[in-house]
Parts: sequence; structure tokens; C-alpha cells
Amino acid sequence: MIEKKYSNYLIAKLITKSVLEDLNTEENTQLNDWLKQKGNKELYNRIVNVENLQTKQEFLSALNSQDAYNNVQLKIALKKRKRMRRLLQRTIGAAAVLCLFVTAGIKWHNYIQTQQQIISQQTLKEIKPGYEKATLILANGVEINLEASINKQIQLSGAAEINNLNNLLKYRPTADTNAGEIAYNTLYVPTGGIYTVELSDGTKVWLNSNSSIKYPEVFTGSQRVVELTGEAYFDVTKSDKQFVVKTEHQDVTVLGTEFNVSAYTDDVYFSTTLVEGKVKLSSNQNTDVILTPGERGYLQVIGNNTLKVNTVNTRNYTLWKDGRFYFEQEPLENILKKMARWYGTDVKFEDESIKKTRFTGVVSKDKPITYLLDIISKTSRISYMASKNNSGRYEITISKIKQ
Amino acid sequence: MMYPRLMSFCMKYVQDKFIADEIVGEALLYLWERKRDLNHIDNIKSYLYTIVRNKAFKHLKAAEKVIYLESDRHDYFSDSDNENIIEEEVQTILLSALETLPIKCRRVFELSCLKGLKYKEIAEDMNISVNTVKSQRARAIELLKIQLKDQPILLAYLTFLIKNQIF
Repeated sequence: MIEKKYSNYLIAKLITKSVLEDLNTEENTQLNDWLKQKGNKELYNRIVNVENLQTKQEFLSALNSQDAYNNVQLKIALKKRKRMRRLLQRTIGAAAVLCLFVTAGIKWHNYIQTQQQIISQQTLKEIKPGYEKATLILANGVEINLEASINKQIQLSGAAEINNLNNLLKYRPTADTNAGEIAYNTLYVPTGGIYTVELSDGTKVWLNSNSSIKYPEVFTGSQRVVELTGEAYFDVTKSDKQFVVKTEHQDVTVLGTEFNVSAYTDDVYFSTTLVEGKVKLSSNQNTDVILTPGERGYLQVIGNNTLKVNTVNTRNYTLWKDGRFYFEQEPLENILKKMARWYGTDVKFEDESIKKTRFTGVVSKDKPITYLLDIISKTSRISYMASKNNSGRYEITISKIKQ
Repeated sequence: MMYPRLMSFCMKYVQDKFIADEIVGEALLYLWERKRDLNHIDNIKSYLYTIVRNKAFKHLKAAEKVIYLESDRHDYFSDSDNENIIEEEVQTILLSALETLPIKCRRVFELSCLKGLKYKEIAEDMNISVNTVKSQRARAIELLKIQLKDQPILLAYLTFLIKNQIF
């Protein structure tokens, strides 16, 4: 190996310059110095040989730099993708290993819970929303299942003709007005049901789940009196005769109006919400209160029995009859109580603090129970689970998702 | 820009245009992959020649056309490597510059400067006057000088491109 005095590029430059006769004295010395070395003279001649150059030119002109450039670009792109894939693979690999550990831990930890979840899912499917179903108890004690006898004439004789048509129980007084004794009927709607009854005077009553109403086949005397347990929405036909809704704790006296009465025995409040007209609330402990439309009178049943009146959005309290749940800033506890009545479930709170969480929204009642529960759980840190308890009833367990 | 030189250089070893193309492509890719290290590489040209040369040897070894006596690695160039590099550096650059010349002008330059013919001989050969030969020759040299002056700038531009990862 000959010691290199000059770099290849310098020599190349010098040769090129010499061809162009552009060498200065110093450069000329350098080139001559290089040419003196063995074999360099031959190299010089070979390089500047016209025939060699022509051969080279033919070779070069056959090259397509653009193609080559594109090829390299393509390779670079492929390499980039490969590298990305490799990186991704590595990341996924690491993640997979991590996941394996985590899942193993969680799996073990959640095994029982998972089992419960499966049961929960199955159970939830079994829970059906309520629908129109009711039992009519006639004066003579005969019970008629209205669900089974849809579109049927129930009674043709007596003081009133009773028809059951399209989920509406309809009373129409017969010509025979002096039928003697007043016969009282009771309409009972179980958990998960709604039923509508049109009384003999044309008053329409929507009876909510777990409620019953007792009324005469025809109204006689100076007052129209019905007895209510649970919740009902009244559209009272105007008449000179007062219409009285008797409940456990208070009476609602009206003159042709629309209102909602909620008198569930297991509720803390008995409330009356007036949509239209005028109603009078009377109870033993309090003085009479007259409500104007949009007002809600609520009687605290447990405790001091005070009667309070506030202005409300009446839709809140009457929408149930149109087949919808309507909640406005409603505590979860109340929402689930209403839900439980409709779906026929029990509700259990694992955590007391979440009972007071408030929700606002409208939910169609014919949706499955999971629809409502999902809305709640997806918008808050609340989870739910369903199971069947010892008495064979469905139980929804509401719990707080831990941080 | 380096591609023709490297191709021609590579051809000296592998004698197969297709393989040479492959090797040069790989070399440029290799350079691109190491673009972050380029700051430590003083001479990209030498670097590329080395890569190409080593890849060519690797290929030849795989094809069992070359048997190494000492080692596989060649960190420095052999005499023939150097000769090849010099050849490419002169010829390719010179040719690319010659490409830009008018045909007549180029012919005069080739005959005079490269073949070393006398003006008279050239004039006879090309059927032009001696004065025309003289003027054409001067013009060719002038044009080539301008062309070749741009070379380092082009190289700097290439380096710039690579370093900025555009290429």
C-alpha cells in the first residue's frame, strides 16, 4: 500500500483541471508529484482517453437517475413502514405481556364478580318493562284479568255497561237509573302496569303501577267520590257535583280539572299536581289549601305532616301516563323507586351517598330496564347489577364505581 | 447526483448493471438510515464509495467470485479502489459537464485537450478553420470551468438535503 499523499478527490480535481489547462503552479507540482508514483501515469491516460470516456458515456446515458431515485425513495418508504411496524410490534408485544399480567390479576380478582355479571346480564334480559295490565274487581267480588280479556264486553246489565277496549275500561250508565244499591268496582294495577279507566261521568283516570282506585259504577248523590291508593292522573269532566279523590292522608276536591295525585303508601310525600282548573286539598292536620295550575301540594306523611306548596313543571309529575319517565333534578333514589315500580324489581343501594345524586331526563317506558340503567351508569360513576333474590324477585344493586 | 458515479464505480466490481443498481440503491438507503450520524462523517462521498465497495465485495463473496485473504472488512481503500474512485470522479464529472456543450464545441475539446491533437489536425479532421478550432476550444474550456465550479455546490446541496431528511 502506497502511502497516500493526496486525497482521491484532490487528484480527481487536479486531473480535471489539467485537462482544462487550468492548473496553477502549486497544483501543477502536486499533480506531477502524483504522476511520478508507480502506475499513476497509466491511470491518468486511461481516464482521459476519449474512447474510454465514450464507453463510459454510453453506460451513463443508459442509466436512469430518476428511476433510481424513485427506487431509493420507495425503499425508504418501505423501511419507514417496516420500522413503524417493528416499533408497533415491540410496543404491542410489551403491552401484551403487561396485559397478560394485569388480566391474570384482574381475572383472579374478578372471577366471582364476573360470574355474577353473567347472571346479572341474563337476569336483566328477563326483566320486562311494565305494560297495560290490570285487575278489575266487581262489586260481587268477581275478579277479571283485563290483560286476558282485551276488547271484551264485561258487563251489560246493572247500572252501567262496562266495556274494555284498547286498554281502556269504559263505564257508561244504562237507561236503568234506579238500579237500587250503588255497586263499587275496584281497578287494581300491579307493579309494571298502567291502565286507563273512563268513569260513568266521562272522567278519565290513568292509573299508575302498583295503584288501585275504587269508584262506583255510576255516580249518585251530590258528590263524585273515588278512593285512591298509589298514583293516578285525573281528567275530570266538569259538573256541578264535586269530584273528590280520597287518599289515606288527604282528600282532593275538584271542580272539572286535570291533575295528578300521587299517594303511594311507601312514599314520604303524598302529592297533588295541578295541570288545569282548581283543586282543594284537605287533610285532618292541616287547613285546606287551594292549588292553582302549575302548583304541587305535597304532604309529608312521615314526621310532622306539614303540607307545602311549590310551583313545578307539571310535566314532571304527569308524563308517566304517556309512557315516559320524566325526571328533573330528581334524586337517584326516587328515580329508581319509580323504575322499580314499573319494571317490578327491588332496588338495593350499596352506597348511601349515591342516593342523592340527581338526574334529569326523559326515558321511554317501553325500553328495557338496561336502557335507563345504562344512561345512569354511563353518565356517572355508578354501576349496577341484577340478581334474583330469595323471594324470586329481581333485585337491582346500585353501587359506586371506585376511583 | 452521486448515482451515476457510484453505478460506474460499482460496475468495476460486479460487472452486472442490475446488481450494481441494487447495491447503489442499498448504499443510498444505508446513508439515509444513518442521516443522523452524518455530522460525524467528514466526507459523504468517501463514505458512499466505501459502502458501495463493501457491498459489492459482500455480493461477490456471496457469489464466491472473490476469496479474501485477510479480512472481510476493508476500512481503507486499496490502490485499485483509489484508482477507481479517481477515475469516476474525473470521468463522470467531466462527462456531465461535457453533456452541456454544443456538439462541435465538445468534439474540439475532446480532440484537442483529451487526445492531444494539434489545431491543424483537428481543423482538417472536422473540416473547419484553425481559428474556429481555437475559438471553439477556448469556449469549451470556459463553459466547462463554469460547469465544474458548480460541482462542490451541488455536493453541498446533496448533503443539505440528506441532513434535513428531505431526501
